[in-house]
Amino acid sequence: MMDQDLAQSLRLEIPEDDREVVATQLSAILQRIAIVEQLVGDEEPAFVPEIEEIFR
Amino acid sequence: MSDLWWLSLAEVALRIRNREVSPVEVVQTLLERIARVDKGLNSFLRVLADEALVAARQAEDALSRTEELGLLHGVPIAVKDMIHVRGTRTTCGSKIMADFVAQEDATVVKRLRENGAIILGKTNLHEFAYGVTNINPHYGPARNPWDPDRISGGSSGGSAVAVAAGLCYGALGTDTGGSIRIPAALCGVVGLKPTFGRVSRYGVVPLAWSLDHVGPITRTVEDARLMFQVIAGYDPMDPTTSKEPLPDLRGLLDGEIRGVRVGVIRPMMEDADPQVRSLVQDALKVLTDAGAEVEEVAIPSLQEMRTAAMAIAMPEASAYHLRWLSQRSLDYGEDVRQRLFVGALLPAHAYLTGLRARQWLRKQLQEVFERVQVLVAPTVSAPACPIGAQTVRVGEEERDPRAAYLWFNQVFNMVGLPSISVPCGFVRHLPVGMQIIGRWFAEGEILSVARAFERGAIQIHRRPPVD
Repeated sequence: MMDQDLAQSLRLEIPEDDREVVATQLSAILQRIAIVEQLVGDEEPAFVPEIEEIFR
Repeated sequence: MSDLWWLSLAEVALRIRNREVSPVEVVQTLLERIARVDKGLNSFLRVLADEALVAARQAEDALSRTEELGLLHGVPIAVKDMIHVRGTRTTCGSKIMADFVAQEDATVVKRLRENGAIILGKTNLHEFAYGVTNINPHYGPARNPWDPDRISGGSSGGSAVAVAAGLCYGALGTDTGGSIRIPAALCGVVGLKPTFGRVSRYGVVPLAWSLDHVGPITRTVEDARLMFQVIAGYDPMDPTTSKEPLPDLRGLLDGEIRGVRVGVIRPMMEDADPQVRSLVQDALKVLTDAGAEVEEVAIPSLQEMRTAAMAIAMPEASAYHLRWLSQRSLDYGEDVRQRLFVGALLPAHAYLTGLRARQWLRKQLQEVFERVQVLVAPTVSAPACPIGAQTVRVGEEERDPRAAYLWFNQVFNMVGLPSISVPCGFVRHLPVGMQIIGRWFAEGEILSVARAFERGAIQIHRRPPVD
């Protein structure tokens, strides 16, 4: 699941002992994010929590 | 004066102002107490003894000159070691920043000093504030004053421990997914996460830019109000701070909440340990007796929103750490390093899904806040687990500590709502907290409800066995 090419392109050397844990966590969160993606429908992104107050 | 350290922040400030006790006596008393008690708790990473004594003498001189005094004149405050204090190290609880010396005060520290506070030291934290246990591989764990074999909670664990153990009168923490409220709940003190944009983050090392908040940890609600009033407000150095006027909150703390509509978040109540749930239900009776109107509310898809919060937090944290992660990954503790790798590898669409979910959740909450003024939930689903435990028991289930402590908190960071955790009782000998969440910029309402509960509750007023 873990994209070694992507890691290398970021110049990340993931230690051998971490690889399985990182791959498992990454896979789990991507599955959960896929469920969120179905839920949010056509919403547009909110880059900060309270936009109007901050940038008015 | 005996037990000077157990005075509230408001009370010690008043006694200093009335010249019943001197700032030097207060600082010396706390320094002696820290030397005696903190070896077993590890709440401070650095005690700024010399600097604090110099500041205390200056505060004493100012008293004798009857100058106009700040709200916190002569009061010692501790600062999480994620927040810059000029001329001292900001380690972030890490090996990576172990030698970093701050060149200027964070805005919050500057405002504390302008109001007369004395910076007593820098407190322990989960490495880079990226975790909830405060088990720190570089500096050791901050230990829970109610049971030193148990976690303090985090990431602002040292700040909560120092306040709970009577080592300072208040402390600053930071909160990206519960890092003020979780340790406050597990250590039996008050923790306030203000609205996003209410308190400057200039001079605070980031964990996740769009989720980070700075706020006070104190022993009473009035003390949280005092510190909040001092540190809040627009800061030209932080473009995310709001120009929303800050009301004078003094009059709101009379405990009057008659007719206030309180929504209890049903999915969070149902998901807490039965003993925690029972304590929050008792707390709701206190609010009802004080005149509040309590009803249940069901906010949809909260578990999915917790995932969305992680989809925002993880890439933001990894983006900040990428340069060190590529060059010094083995200088991180294992848990933080692995989390940073996962965040670095998440695709952009995952992050954007989190941001879209933020907007979705915000709309849900706006609807809820048309019916109620504040929301209530447990702060944590279970009391503090033993240091090193891989799981925490919640009812009949064994859960990952990170999940058990985080999920009632993270969603409110995602949308930037103000939230306060107040102690609401004990499970065996261990404290837990109730969380009161308000509308954007309505810190006054949550402080008012928290104060009403504090006044009406009986069993929350205990001290940990640390003397």
